[in-house]
Amino acid sequence: MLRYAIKRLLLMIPVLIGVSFLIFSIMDLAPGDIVDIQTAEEGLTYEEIDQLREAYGLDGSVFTRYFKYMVRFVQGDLGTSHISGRPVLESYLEKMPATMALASASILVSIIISLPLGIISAIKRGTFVDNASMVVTFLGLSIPNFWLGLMLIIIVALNVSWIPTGGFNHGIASLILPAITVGTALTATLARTTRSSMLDVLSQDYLRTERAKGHKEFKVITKYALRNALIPIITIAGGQFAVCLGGSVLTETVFSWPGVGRLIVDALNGRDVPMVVGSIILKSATIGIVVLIVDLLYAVIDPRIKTQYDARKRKQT
Amino acid sequence: MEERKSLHDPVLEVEDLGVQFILENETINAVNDISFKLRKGHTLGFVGETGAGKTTTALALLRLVPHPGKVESKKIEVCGHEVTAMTSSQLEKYRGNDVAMIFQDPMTSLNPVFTVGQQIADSIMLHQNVTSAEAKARAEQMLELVGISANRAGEYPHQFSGGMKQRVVIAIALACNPEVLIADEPTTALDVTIQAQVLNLMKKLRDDRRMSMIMITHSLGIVADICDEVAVMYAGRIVETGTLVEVFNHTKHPYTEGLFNSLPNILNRSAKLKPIPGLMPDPSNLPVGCSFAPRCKYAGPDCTCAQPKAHWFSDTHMVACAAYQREGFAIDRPEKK
Repeated sequence: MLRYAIKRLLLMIPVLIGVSFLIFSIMDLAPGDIVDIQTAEEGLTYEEIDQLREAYGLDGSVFTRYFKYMVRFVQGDLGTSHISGRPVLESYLEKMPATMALASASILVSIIISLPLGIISAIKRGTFVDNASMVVTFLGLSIPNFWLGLMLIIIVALNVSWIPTGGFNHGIASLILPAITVGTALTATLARTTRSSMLDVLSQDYLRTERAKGHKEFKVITKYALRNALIPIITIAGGQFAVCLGGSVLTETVFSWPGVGRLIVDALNGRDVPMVVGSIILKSATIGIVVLIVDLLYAVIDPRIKTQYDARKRKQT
Repeated sequence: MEERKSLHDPVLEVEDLGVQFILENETINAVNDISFKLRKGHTLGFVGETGAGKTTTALALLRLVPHPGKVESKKIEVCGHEVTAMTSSQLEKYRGNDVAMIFQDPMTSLNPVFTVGQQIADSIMLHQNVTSAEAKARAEQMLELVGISANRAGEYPHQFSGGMKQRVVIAIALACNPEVLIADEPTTALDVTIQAQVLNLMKKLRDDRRMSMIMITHSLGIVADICDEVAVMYAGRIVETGTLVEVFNHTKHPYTEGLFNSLPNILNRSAKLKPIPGLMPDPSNLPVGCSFAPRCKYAGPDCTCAQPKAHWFSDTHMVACAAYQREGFAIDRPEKK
C-alpha cells in the first residue's frame, strides 16, 4: 500500500510538469500582459515598456521563460506576484483555510442530502418517492449558484441574526449559507451515483444471506449493502471535494469568501503570470492528492482492491 | 399409535403453500398448493428440475421470497409458530435461529467486504447474548467445525476457494444451532470431489446436532445418500412424496420414473441415456390438467381435464397421478425389494 502511494505520488510529477507548461503557454497566448494593463494610460515609450517587460521577466521565448520558471520551481520558489509583490505560495496558503472549510462543509451538505435520498430512491425504485427525490436533487443542480446564494442571503441571512451575509470571520455560522449553496449543486450527481450503485448491490445474493441470518432490514441496507456500494460514491464525492478545493468563484464572490477561486480569477484578469501558474500548479497538486487519498480509501473499504494494490507491489519486486 | 405420533411430531408443517410472481403482463405460478411435513431429526429431500419451485418453497419458509412474489398458505408452522403471522421483529428472531438456510451459490452468498469470521460472529451476536469476543471465539470454533483453520477467520471471502466458501456458508447457517436447516443445492456449484466432502460434513453435523433438514437438490444420488423422505416436485407441485424406500424402490409417478430412467446406467455404459422428452411447461401458463401430461407416455384424456387427485399408497406414500384411477394401472419401472 505504502509503495503504491509513493508510486502514485511520483506519477504526479509529470502531470504537474504538463499542467504548468500548458498554463504557461496559454498565458503566453492570451492577448495582453501585465505591462499592457499597467501602462495602458501612462504613455510610456517603447524602450521604457521593454525595460518593464524585462523587469517582470516577460522577455524571451515562452520556452526560455518556462525553463527559468521551472528551475526556480524545483528550488521551492513559486515566484512572487506581479501585483501584490508577495510570494505566490504564501498568498495561496493564506486562502487555503477558507477554501478547505468551504469545501469540507459543502461536501458534507452534499453527502447528508444525497446519501439518504439515493438509498431511498434505490429501495423504492420506480415509485413516486424515487422520482420525487431525483427531481429535488436535479433542482439543486439546475439552480445557478450565485442566484441560490443571493436568495439565501435575502431570505435567511437578513432574517436570522446569527447568520452573517458573508465573510469568513463568524466561525461555523458563516459557513452555513455558502456550504448549502455549493453543496446543493453537488447533490444531483452524488444522489444518482448512490442510487445506481445501491441498485446494483441490492440484487446481490449476499444480502439474502444477511436477511436469512435475521438482520434488521435497516441494518442490511445501511451496513451490509452500503459498504459494498461505497466505491462509486466516494469516487464521485472525492472528485467533487477536489474540485471544491480549487475554489468556487461565484459562491466566493457572492459571500465575500476569501478562497482560492477568486485569487486565481483576480490573478488571471491582472495577467499576473507567476500567481496564475503557481496557483494552478498548487491546485492540481491538491486535486492529485485528494484523488490519491480516495484511491487509497478504496483499499480500506474493499479488501479485494487492497489485494490488487499489494499484488502490484509483489510484481514489481 | 398416540405415543408414536408424539415422537414424530413435525417441526415444520406446510399446508397449501402457493407462491405467485405477479408481473405487469403475466403471473408466474412458481409454487402451487403444496403441503408437506418435516419430522424432528428427519431429512426431507426436494427433488426436481430447475424451475420446479424448490428454492421458492424454501424462501417462502423464511419469508424471503423476493419482490414481487406473493405467498399464500393455509399454514406454515415451524416449531409451533405460524410464520405468516410473524411481526418483523419476531421474524428477525426466527430467521437464522429457528430456521437457517444454506444458499445455492457460495460464490455470491458471502458479503465480499466483511471477513468470514465477522460474518459468522454476526449471526451469533444477533441471536445469542454474548460479547463480541465470545462471538468471535464461537465463530472460530464454527470454522474449525467445518474444517477450516481458525486463524483464517480474519480473511475475506475472495481469499477462499469455492468449496471453502460453501463451508463458510454452512458455518454461518449452523452458528446458532437452528432447529431446521434448509440446504438449497449446497453442492451444485462445487466439483465432485468437494461435493462428497461437503455432504459428509453436513450429514455428520446433522446427526451430531439432531437437526431436521430440508435438502433441495436435483441429484437423486444425494437424496439417496442423505434423505429419509423425498418430495418430487414438478412445475410447482409435489407429484410424489414418501419415504426414501417408497419413492426409490416403489416408484409410482411417471415423472419420478422418468427421472430414474434418465440416470446413466452404470452396469451398461454403452446404453443410451433416456431423457424425458419435452420441456417443463411455462409457469406463467400452466395447463388445466396435470402439468406433466404433455410429456407423459401414460397420459390419457382423463389427465388433461383436471388436476390429478392425491393417491395414497400408504400413510406416507402419496402420488398425484390420475392414471391410478384406472383399473390395474402400473408404470413400467419394476418395484425393488
